[in-house]
Order: sequence, then structure tokens, then C-alpha cells
Amino acid sequence: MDIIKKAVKEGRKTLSEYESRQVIESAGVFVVAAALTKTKEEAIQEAEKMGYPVALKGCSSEISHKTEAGMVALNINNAQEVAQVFDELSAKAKNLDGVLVEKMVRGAREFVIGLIRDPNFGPCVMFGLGGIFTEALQDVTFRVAPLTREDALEMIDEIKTKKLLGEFRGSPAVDRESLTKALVGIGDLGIKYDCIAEIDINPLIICGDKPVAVDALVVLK
Amino acid sequence: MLDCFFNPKSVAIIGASSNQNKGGYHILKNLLAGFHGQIYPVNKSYREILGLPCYPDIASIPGNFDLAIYFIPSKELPHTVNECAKKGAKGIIIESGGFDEAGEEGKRLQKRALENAAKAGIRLWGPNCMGYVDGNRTYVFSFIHSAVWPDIFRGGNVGLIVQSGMLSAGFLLHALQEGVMGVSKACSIGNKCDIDENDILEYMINDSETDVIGCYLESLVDGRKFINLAKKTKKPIIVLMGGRSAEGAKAAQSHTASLSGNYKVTSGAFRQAGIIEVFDPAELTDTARAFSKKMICHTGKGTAILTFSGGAGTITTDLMADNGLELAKLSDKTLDTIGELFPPWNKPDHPLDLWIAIERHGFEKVFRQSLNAVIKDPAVDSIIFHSYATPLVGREFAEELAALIKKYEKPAVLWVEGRKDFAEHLRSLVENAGLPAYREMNRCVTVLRGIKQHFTKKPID
Repeated sequence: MDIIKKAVKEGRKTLSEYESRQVIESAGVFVVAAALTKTKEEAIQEAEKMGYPVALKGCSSEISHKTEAGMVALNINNAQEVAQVFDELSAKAKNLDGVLVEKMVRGAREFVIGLIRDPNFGPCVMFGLGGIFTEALQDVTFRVAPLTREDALEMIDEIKTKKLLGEFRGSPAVDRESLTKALVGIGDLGIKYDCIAEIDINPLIICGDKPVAVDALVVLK
Repeated sequence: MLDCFFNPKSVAIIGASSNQNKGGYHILKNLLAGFHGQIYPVNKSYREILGLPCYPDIASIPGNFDLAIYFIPSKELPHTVNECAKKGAKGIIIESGGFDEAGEEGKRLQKRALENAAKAGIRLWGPNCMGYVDGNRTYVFSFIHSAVWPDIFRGGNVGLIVQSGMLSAGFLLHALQEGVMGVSKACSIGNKCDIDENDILEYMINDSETDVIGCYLESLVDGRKFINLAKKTKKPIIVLMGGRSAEGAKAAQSHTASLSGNYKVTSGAFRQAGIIEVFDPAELTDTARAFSKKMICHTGKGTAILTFSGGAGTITTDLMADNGLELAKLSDKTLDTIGELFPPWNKPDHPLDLWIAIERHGFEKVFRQSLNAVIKDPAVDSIIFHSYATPLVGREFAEELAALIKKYEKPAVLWVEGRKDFAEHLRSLVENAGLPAYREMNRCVTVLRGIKQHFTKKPID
């Protein structure tokens, strides 16, 4: 993939969110609608096109944890707010690739998909409970890549919070096929690209019945 | 490939001794007791040990030998490897310590020995290990005290791979003493400078004498290879992994990496490969022993509980729920058949508390009729059987039960309760008949979970 090749060539350690999104999308993971914008006007135009509310994120391969860096603004409801936030984000960091305008996705169920390179097992895929409880509950499970469909299904059934993946408080059961495809796809990325050290998709929000990546980070070796 | 270790025609013992307080004495004594090939003790201090001529050095041994067992200080190893090469040896089991585990000098010695061995085409086993035991050939290629094992030694179909030195001996004794687990090969692999768990695992997978493989490991030399080997075999592999707390993930930038340090990767990889993970030595031997009986399970249904106590049935049901095992939904026909043994004012329910029927008809009749009914029920794929230890249950009955289990391909695990001497008697009687039996309920349930996990992942063709 050109994005990865280019980043490796430039000696970068991470891909920006915008680049990371493209990489995981190529692997079969649904990603939330978004556009990388360079100007205020462009940002407003994209926001109006996808409909409010939107999120704005300062996009740079140099910032891997955007929330901690104050680079994420959620629930933006009109053009005026877009303009204001755009300026704020641009002022905070010098080397932004642009500002990512993202459709806000609603869904109470958040999961995580990841890829690591284990010293012993090589590339391994992680799946588990995402969002703010990820580290507190550590309800995650791993499989060694490449994954078969059965491996992915086993992972889905293995986490303690698997009930959240069924019909839950009026929300439909998760489309297991999409989730399986995402897990298998991320494992295949690890096999195909030796230069990928880690991938983090958190949160993966269940939107209706579809798992949709709302944030993504690809770390290079 | 490992035949020089497992099927040698001649063995040199470097560091044989006539001093009974030394391991070098017991290695020789153990070989004399069970190995019928040529034995060459080597030690410059003796002319003869235990009736065998003792050679001052390797060069003095007349003719060649296949295998050397090394039990002298570590500094002699690099040189000894070269000497063994001149005698055509293909393998050396290094049971002494003082290598990688003992600082810079030890590391250097291990490295030089490895280099010399690679040049000569010699494989090194250990160092810092207890060698191995072959239960079927009565080979004890180990410094384990020669008085400890002869009366409990037993051949069989369980292969053990144990990383820790002394624990392998403890393991083996425990496994053998618990009764009725025969060992094909128990291998202590120590520092695994060359021969590692993957070599032995591959050998055991292809070994016709080994049906079940149990491992205690503290590290995996190549985890990916280990699980790829496991994936390809239908022999049950049970692993107790030491050091479950973390490594790696230090320079983690992402959530994923920081979450992976806590053994979860290994655990997931094991499940993926159909490896049964256990958490203490007793669980390892319990499970290996049950698998050694070659019971078959067609999973996907529930477990039936036959008991003489309502309380025991309830506790077992709870333990099953904890372990993700389902209680079978018995058919009306099954319950009616068992109901014939009950008084008219009482009907059986599941878990099957049979006491009221036992009072009327005695153990044998009730157990036989109930088991026959339950085992034919299509909703049942396995059975937990609570047996009250009484001298009234005899060998023929145990064998009859075992035959039923075999015929219907539904495994049964027995819990034996009662007076200690009766219970031990019944337990060994039942084990000898071919059914696993335990004195604690949770051990029954854990073992059954392992069996079902295995046959779900690796069904019988």
C-alpha cells in the first residue's frame, strides 16, 4: 500500500488517523464517514454535506493520542462552531496534515480491535470491550494471525461482555459477519505488512448492527 | 531425528560414580536396572563401578557409542563434545548445571559447547535438567535417586515435557503415585540450549506409544511453531505454563500492546490451537490421566449427573456452570425409566439424586439401570457419576460401566466419596477398569471441561 510505503520511507513511526483509516478500510473494516480538510471553508462544506453533529480532529502522524493532546472536539452542531474549532485546533499544533471532519456516530456499545507483534507468536489480533473501560476491565482476547473465520467467531464468543454483542436494550444484535471480516482482515494486514508494529481501533462503535471504526492508529516498526 | 536419545544402542556416562551420594552413581544404577545396551562409565578415579569397567576418559572407551550422559562440572563440556564426536556420538544429555543460568562464564561455556556440537552434528539436551524416563522401555536416563521409582514405575501412553529440573521428578512421582497413569516418556528439558519443547513435542506427536502430551513450560522458544505443531495433531496436548505474569509490551504505544503483556496472548494462542490449558500440576496430571484412557466424546450436548446425594448434585451443577458446562435436558423417557426404581410418591429429576432408589434396590441395580438410561439419551454427551465407596461395588461392575462408556462414546468422570480406605480402593478399581475417578468434585468437572474442549476443537473423524 502506498500510504504505508511512503511513511516507512519517511522514517515515520505512526500513520496519521486519516492514513490509518484508509489502511484498515482496505482490510475490510467499516470506518465512519470523514474528510481531511485544509481550510475552514472546506471543513464547513464537508460538515454540511455529511450533516451535523460532526467531530473535528487535528490530524497528524506526530500525535498518536489525540484526546490527550486536546486534538479532538465532539458534537459540533453548526458552521460557526466548525469555524471556531478549526482555528483552535490549527493554533494548537504546527504540523497538522489537516483537520479531519467526521460524522458523529451514535452507539452505546464500544469495542476494540487491535494488532500486536508478540515476540513469541508474531502478529496477533486482539478483540474486546472498548471505549473508556478497555484498560480498567481488560476484557480482551487474542489469536495468532492469520485468523480463520472460526478463530474470529471464537474470539467474539470468548469475551465476558459478549452479551453486548447480542440484542441489547433495544439495539439489534451485531452483524457477526462484518465483525468476523474485520478481525480476519486486521490479522491479514499483520501478515502482509511486516513493517506494521501495532494497530489500534478504539472505539469500534456498534452503529445499528454494524461495527464502525471511529478512531484508528497504525504504528510502524 | 531424536532416536539417538530415545533409542540408543550404547551410552557413555561421563561422571559415573561409585559414591551413592552422587548423581553419577544413580545414573549408572538406573541404566543398569532397565537399559540393556552397552554402558560405558567414565571417571578417572575408578577402574570399575557396579561390576562394569570404568574408563578414565572418553578416548579410552573401546569402540563408538550413540549417546552420552554428562554429569561433571560445566567447564569440561566444550571439550567433551569434541571427544564424543570422535566416538561417533549423536547426542549428549547434559544433566549438570552451571551454564546459561550461572552468569557470564556459564553462558560462554554453553555457547562454545553448542558451536562444537553443531560442527560435529551432535544434538545437545539440557543442560541443567533431569534427562528423561521411558516408561515402556524402563529407561531412566536421569540422576533421580535409584531407590525412588522402581515400585511405582509404570509404562503407558502419556508423554510429559517438563522444563523445570526438580519439578519434573516431582511431577513424575506424583503422576505415577496417583495411580494408573502410565508414562511413555517424561522429558526434563532444562535450559533447552538446543533440544527444546518443539523438538520433543514433534517427536511425541509422531510417537506411536504416546497418545496424550502434557507439558510444564516456563517459556516458549518459538510460540508460533509450538501452536502450529499442536494444530496439526489430534492427540490431546495439555499445558501448564509457568510465569503467566507479563513480559514485552514495555515500549507499547497502543492500547493493544499494553493489554497483551499479561499472558492473554499465549492463552488465546493455546485455545486457537486446541491446547488445553491447566493451572497447577495436579490438574495437569488429572487431565492427562483422563485422556490416557482414550474415552471419546461427541460434543454439543449436555452432561448428565448421577448422584446419591442431592447436595453433591447441586454443587456439581454449580461447578459445571462456572466451567461453562451445560446440564443435559434429559428426555421424559429417560426419567421414566429411572423412575421405575423410585417409589410411586417420588419422581427423579436432573441432577439425578438416586438415593431413594438405592435404598430400595441397592447400588448396583440402580447405578446400572440409571446409567443405561442416561447414556442412551441423545441429549447427553458426557456423564459425571458420583459413586459412594462401598465394598459392595466390585470389579466386574466397574468394568461393565467402562464397557458402556466405550460403546456409546460418551465419557464419564467419577467422583468417589466415602470412607478413605474404601474410597481409595474403589478409585483404583475404577481407574483400572478404564474410567477416571477423583476424590474432589471440582477435579471431575475441570477434567470433563478439558475433555469437552478437546473434542469440540478436534472432533473424531
